[in-house]
Amino acid sequence: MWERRRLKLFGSRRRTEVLLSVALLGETYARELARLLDAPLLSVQRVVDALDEEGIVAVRSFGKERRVTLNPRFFASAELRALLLRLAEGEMEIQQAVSSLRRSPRRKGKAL
Amino acid sequence: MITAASTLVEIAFEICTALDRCGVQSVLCGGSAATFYTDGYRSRDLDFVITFGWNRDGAEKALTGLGFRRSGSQYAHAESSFTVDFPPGPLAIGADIIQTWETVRRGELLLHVLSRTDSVRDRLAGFYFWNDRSNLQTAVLVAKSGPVDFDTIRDWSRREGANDKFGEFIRALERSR
Repeated sequence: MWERRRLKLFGSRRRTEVLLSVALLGETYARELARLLDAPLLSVQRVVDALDEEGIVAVRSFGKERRVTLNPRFFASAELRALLLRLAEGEMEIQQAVSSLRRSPRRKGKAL
Repeated sequence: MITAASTLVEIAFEICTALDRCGVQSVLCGGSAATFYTDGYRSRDLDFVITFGWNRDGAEKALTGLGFRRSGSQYAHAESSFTVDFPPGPLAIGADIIQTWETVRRGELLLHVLSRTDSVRDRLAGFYFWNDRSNLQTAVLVAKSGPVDFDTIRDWSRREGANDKFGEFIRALERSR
């Protein structure tokens, strides 16, 4: 059976998906990533923790939420972001999933 | 010997020397480097980036020999409240990889530490990237503690797209004098 080859450039498909999604979203959190990628939360959290440990992403706490971004203090942050955004152009499923999220502010009372 | 009375800087010398003796070169950075330059900022942990010769067994042995025990991703000491962390390398500030630093000797002990100018840049990076104003205050304290190369900091700030925040740093420095 023909199987489409999916990019695993960053060690595993899950790790690659997480990085591509973080680059596209700018800022996100593990639960949102798990929902977008249709992946178990624990699996996504493990990937995020490992990337945090390596200094590739930064995780900051705001109340109960742990927000994830690419780490701007990583020395190759600009190049990594550019590479991820370029690679994401070939990832239609991830692009679509990310595009389904509404991020811009909506005035209170206004219909969604 | 590390005791409850040991200062962060004293512990930094002990750790750096112990690692050096087992072939691991490490550089003190982050808030702990700022504490090395100014009493005005007291970091509670020591951050060392390994720059050469990473050898897990050797490093572990050196640290346990000083009384540290691994606790999660950090090392803790039974007598001292200071913890030790090894952030991932390379040693860098923003996009600049750091290849030179200060090496200070105290008798038999040595310490590799970010230069004063790079310590200012390191603290400013937290202000530039995270808008962390406590980092701005620490950068000001380090800059006031001795000579720094403002041309290097200005040029780096421009490359990081932080001209406005560099201006804010200079104004904060002038106000504090």
